[in-house]
Amino acid sequence: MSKFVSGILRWSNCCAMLLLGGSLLGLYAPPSVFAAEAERGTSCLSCHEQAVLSFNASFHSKIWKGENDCQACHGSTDQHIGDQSKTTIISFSKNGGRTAEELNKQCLGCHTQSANLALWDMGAHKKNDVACISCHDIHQPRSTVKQPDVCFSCHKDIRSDANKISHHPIIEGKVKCSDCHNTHGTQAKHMLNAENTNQLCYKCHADKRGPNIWEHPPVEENCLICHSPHGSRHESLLVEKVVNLCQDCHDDSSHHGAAYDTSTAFAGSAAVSVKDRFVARACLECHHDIHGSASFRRSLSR
Amino acid sequence: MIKKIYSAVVLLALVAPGTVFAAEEAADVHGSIELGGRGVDNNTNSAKFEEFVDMSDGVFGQVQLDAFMGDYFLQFDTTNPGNDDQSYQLKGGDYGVFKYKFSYDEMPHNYTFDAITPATGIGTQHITFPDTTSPAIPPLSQWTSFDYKVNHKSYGGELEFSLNSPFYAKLGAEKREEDGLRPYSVKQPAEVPEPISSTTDNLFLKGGYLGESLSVSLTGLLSSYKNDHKYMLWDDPDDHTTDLVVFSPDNDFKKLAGDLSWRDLPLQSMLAIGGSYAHLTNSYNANDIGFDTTNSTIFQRLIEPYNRLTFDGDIDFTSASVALTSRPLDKLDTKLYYRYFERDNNSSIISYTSVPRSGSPEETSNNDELLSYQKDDAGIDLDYRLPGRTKLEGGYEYLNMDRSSPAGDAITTNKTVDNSVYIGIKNSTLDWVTAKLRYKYLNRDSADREAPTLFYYQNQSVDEWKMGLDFYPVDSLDLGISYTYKDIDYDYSVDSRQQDTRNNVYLDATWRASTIASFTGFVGFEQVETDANRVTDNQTSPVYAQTIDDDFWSYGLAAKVAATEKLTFNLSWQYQKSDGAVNFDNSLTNSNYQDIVESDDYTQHVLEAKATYAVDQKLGVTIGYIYKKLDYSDINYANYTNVLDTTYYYSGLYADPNYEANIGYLLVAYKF
Repeated sequence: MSKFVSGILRWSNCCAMLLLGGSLLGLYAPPSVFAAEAERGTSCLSCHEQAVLSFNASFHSKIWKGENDCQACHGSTDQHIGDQSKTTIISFSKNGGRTAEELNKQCLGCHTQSANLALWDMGAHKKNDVACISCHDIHQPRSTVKQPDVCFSCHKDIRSDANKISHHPIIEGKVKCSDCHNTHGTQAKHMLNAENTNQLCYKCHADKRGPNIWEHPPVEENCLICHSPHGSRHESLLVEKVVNLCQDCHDDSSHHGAAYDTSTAFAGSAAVSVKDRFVARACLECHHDIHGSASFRRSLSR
Repeated sequence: MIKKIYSAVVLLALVAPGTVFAAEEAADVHGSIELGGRGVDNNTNSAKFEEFVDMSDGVFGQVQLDAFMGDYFLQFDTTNPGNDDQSYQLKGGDYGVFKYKFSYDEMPHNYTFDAITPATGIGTQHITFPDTTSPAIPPLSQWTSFDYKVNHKSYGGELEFSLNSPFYAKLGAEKREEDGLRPYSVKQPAEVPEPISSTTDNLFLKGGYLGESLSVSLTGLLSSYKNDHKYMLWDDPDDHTTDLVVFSPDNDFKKLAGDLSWRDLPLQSMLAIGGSYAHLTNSYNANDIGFDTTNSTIFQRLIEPYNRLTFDGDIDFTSASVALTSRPLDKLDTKLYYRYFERDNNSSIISYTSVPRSGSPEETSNNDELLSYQKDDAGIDLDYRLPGRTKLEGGYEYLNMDRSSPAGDAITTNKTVDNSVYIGIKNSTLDWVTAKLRYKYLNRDSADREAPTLFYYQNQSVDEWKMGLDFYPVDSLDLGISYTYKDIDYDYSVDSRQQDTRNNVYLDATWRASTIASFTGFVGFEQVETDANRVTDNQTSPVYAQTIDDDFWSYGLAAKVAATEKLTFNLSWQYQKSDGAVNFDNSLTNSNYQDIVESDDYTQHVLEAKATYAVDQKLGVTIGYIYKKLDYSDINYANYTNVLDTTYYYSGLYADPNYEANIGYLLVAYKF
């Protein structure tokens, strides 16, 4: 109950701050500059009322402040007025008859000089004919991409992984696709926001950065040798169940090579030493510093 | 003081709405406020149910605000304020002149609730287990209870100035904090949590030029990680000594990166060049991480002759990249690229003569574990547009990895060389269908291919087929199917993975039946089969063979129906089924290993139903219900017990993630 009350108090506090901020902005706001809005798109309004009105309420429209009309994106309407088919105008509909390159040219006309799009030509989305409009709807109040849903509409394998029992908090909205990938192009593989996978992971997982005295070389080389970054049906986003994964490299000596079968579980044979069993987190029960150890003595924990 | 500030803010809030409305004509302010109440009925206390979210009873909601005033814009967002997963973001500026962004975010990471341990001192840097010799371990009812849970907070901001010029500067700072208890274990094994209290401070400065054909940027980054708990002592119940575990060390990371891109070159070419240098360091001595070099009875191994008792971590990272995209022919697009990455580990070599509690002394050194490597990656991509909106693509990539350590050879493999080629075709001759087919072949050549283990570093032959079809037979219907087949042969592997085979199929459909009803659905199936040979007890040839078979099904349905102009119903259901098994081939040595039929098996159901009533264009009310259920079973947790063989203690970590929960909520949304 105390948490409930605390939540209400914090909520009211937040709303108060919000309204305060809004009021201050209002107090010092200059006169509106949107008088031109009513006139914008008037030639299109008679047929495309909803599109014109939605655009007039959009971020693009507000930022342009009446300097650009529908034709800025859709091209000249001269021919379209006579022949109202989609081919007589630059239509962004999926069956509008335009290639992604043609559509993107309309956007890049303004956005080429953007730091985010400087490497558009290098990215996989350009190569695979992804149109800007596939992700951004500039007729919405905000053209911000609704992650991860928009990304999942094409990347179905990633959607599947992100919904598995062990996953990065992507569907919870705490990690965005754009936190790790620059969808507008980078020079790195998979359009990563870093030179390679490890440098990317260390941005959040700085504790794994080391330097450690005792390294686990595959860890330092590539996190993806062991982890599936979006999600997995195995604990800790591992690419395989922990025993099988560890034994893919370590099954040649000592208890590392003990067979992982039903006799090594909790209910297994009492004759099997606990150190040869794979119960609970299995290998990780003892080898807890799998990402490297800062200890001076070489602990078996690494 | 806090009370006064709070009171002032609330009083101002009472005045604020009038001011906002009074100013509405002058400023363009709009947005939405959603405020709801939630009741949760959960039959267990499963942390998995709320792994990254706060799903407790109470208030939840979100606020979105957009404001435009003259040349300025402002956007404010908050989600679940007051809850453990709250987030806030404020951004704004004058487009083309300056921009700013501030954010605050909290996220719980719940691993397991109500874990237990016989140890005391949980959360501190010294835990104690009861003496197992006299008296015996106490009953479970007397064990200490705790939650495996880490709270994450991050906050920071960015400022960017361009002043309507082609030059820009961006400054950003961020702090990340972690606090709580994370899964760990000592004593081979006794599950106890690692106390977590750490901060990471990031500061970056970026400056650049954005011209019509040339853009250049230079970025500097400083990142510092500080761990408040660098070690933990624990009193061993068996030999009555105090032992030590060491956690992640502090570190400092500095990076300087530069990028250049140049468009409008001949043949419609674009050139991109990038490079970076980074330096990762830390320094600590044995005392900093809990070693007592004067006390031979506590940490006896550390009094052995060490070459040094201070470790200086020192790793350099260097990268360079260059890429050129061109259109040498009207229908041909090309990309040539080269990427270089180097990790140069110059950290201290620590060596000593180990005197194990039993056995002969042996020299121990980290000199074969400090990894350095160089990676060269070069390739070409070609896309050729054929008639009929058909595109043919192909490419080649060469990737060379050279690894080493201060001892000379890398502990894994000194060198691997990947050669891969791909070819594909895409066709969208018909406006209503797009078809794609792609084949990729990769060959990995390992310098140590005779080495029998280390699957990743083995010689490999990889075949991958991808197929995709997207149909839009009518405007109201979208259908999609994609299929991937991947096969990896580990050519010289003796006692590791022999072969991986993967099949993934995904089907999607969206039907906008009318202006008042739409339906979506998906089905996914993934199958992974891994064949491996295993050896045991230092045998030189495989003792048994193993086939790991993992199947994963998922499907979902969703419907949205506008019953009236004001009333909308949403209904969705998602289902997942994970089915794993490990099957043995005992014929190699006439062994007798038993198949595992429960290997990360689970089913998950999520049902959501909600009805939204639009009172008017601004006000809406939603009443909703969510049902979530997880059933997990695995051989590793079957017949779980907290004490095994009298001296191994398990805390219940991950042992029972199952839950069945009913959530009801009422949400009021107001748009302004």
